Amino acid sequence: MDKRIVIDPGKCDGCGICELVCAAGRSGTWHPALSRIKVKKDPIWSLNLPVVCSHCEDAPCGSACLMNIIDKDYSTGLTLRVLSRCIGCRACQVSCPFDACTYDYRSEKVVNCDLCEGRAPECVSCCPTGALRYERAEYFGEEKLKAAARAAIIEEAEPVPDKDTPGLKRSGGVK
Amino acid sequence: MRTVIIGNGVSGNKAAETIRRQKPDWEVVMISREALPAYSACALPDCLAGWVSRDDLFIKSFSDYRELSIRTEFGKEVRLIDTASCEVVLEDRKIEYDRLILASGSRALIPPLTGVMLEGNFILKSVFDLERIMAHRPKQVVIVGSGNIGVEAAEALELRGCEVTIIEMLDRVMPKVFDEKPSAIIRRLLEENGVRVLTGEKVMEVRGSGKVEGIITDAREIPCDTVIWAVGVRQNVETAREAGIDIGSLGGIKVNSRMETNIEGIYACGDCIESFSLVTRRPELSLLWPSAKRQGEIAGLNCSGKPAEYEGSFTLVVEEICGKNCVSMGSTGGMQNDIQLQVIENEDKDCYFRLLLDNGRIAGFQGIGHNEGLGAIMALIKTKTQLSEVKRVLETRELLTMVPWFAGAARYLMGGGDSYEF
Repeated sequence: MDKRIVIDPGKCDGCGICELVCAAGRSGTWHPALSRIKVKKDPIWSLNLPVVCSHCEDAPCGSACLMNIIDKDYSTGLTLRVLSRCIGCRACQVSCPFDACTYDYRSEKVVNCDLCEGRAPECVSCCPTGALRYERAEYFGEEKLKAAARAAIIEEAEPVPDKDTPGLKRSGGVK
Repeated sequence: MRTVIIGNGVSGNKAAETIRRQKPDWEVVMISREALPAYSACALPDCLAGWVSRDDLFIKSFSDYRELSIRTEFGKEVRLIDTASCEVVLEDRKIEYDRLILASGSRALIPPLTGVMLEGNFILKSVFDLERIMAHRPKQVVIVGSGNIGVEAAEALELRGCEVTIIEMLDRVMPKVFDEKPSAIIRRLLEENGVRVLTGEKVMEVRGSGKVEGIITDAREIPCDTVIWAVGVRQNVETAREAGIDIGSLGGIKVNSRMETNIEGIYACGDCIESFSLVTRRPELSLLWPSAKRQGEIAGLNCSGKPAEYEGSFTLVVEEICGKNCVSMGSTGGMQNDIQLQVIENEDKDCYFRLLLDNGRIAGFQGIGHNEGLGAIMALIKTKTQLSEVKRVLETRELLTMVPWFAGAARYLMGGGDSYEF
């Protein structure tokens, strides 16, 4: 299995360096809206949730694409696009359950993370907290997430959550 | 083993590719009426608007078929399917098959009215139709029907400087995928952009001598030089019916969830079949690109001996109308008439959305001007999740780090409050 970006939201402090690096490196501007990795922020509970293309096995973006330009690379397992033929219809963006497609308003095309064209992703090497890692993993998918979620419930069942510091109990994450 | 695929649309091609991947040594033959490689019919209005060039419509080139070692019999009509001797009869020869996949698609309807044969009547279903419209140089256009094709063609021709009128028989535009309120917003968008929209009007006749001069409805007469019929499609099932293949009550080829017809070794997929809805489990004609692609894949997998089940068709319509992203997914209020769907809606100055609930389960979504977090909604509709379940995760933030994509959908699920803006 090839390497993927592994996200640990518990370690993310929401600095947004990954977004800037991605936007600068891949689209040439320091505009975080053009980043392919996005940090969703919850102001109330101060949760920071980085989201990036997870290269699904049965990619919904690929089946939605009206131009058939999104396909799995069967050697690396990555979900790649032939961007030159993208018509910017946004069907892939709307069908991605992880909200991991980015609409590039300048070229009017939709892009996703391709792990910096298969080289080591820049966002990972710039992440100051270690929330992003570039690792081998056996399987990324719902099952694994569910298993992780179940494990987390059991771990946290014992101590009663402190009402004054909600959310701080959360550590660890999608591994 | 020889597999013959009738049709060169998205489902036929997906089936061919799937078989090639599963069985590299099988012989695959594709037969198609059009002598063109596969192209995206969804992008035809974009090409009409000039956003996409004609060359960019094509998904494959002839050399791609050769690379996949798929034999092509393009530009040929299927006369007969002989299920007894397992042969497909073309005009000039017969092709024997071991497995047959029918992906014959659909054709645009033109109602049998006076004047529909006059020069200036068009449909928009193929590259050929597109070229004919372009060559005609339309100026005053009437589009009959306000489905996806109708609305997209209207916007495209508007951009080309034509005077465009849409006539819709029902009471609102895009009646199949949008409810009254969002439909009214789309109508306003179209009208603001200079498209004239007439609803609740029935076309009676096309007037003209030699060529189209006007169109007569039950309320008025509109002068025009071009009529584009976008009233719907009919399944291409005639050869299948003659061969003894069962046709369903909606007019499509009847298949099971493995895309098998009633005759062993014959599969069907794409626009020509009658599939079932993922949300309601009822039979429906899907006619959408993603469904056709998935059906082709399922047919290809089962055909090459790998069992696969179709999960059902899912309505997903994404339409950029006058710069606004209009999205409809899952059920609409009109589609489940007998079940009372609960509606949660939110409107601020440029955006609108409505969430439809079936007994608390998220069943449908329609939005205008919203782009983000919709995939999460789609996944929730597909898994028939209870809204209360999602709300609990979002309110307590319990396990939210495990499902961060819920955060993107929070603004829709929590009723549009600012406090849930992520």
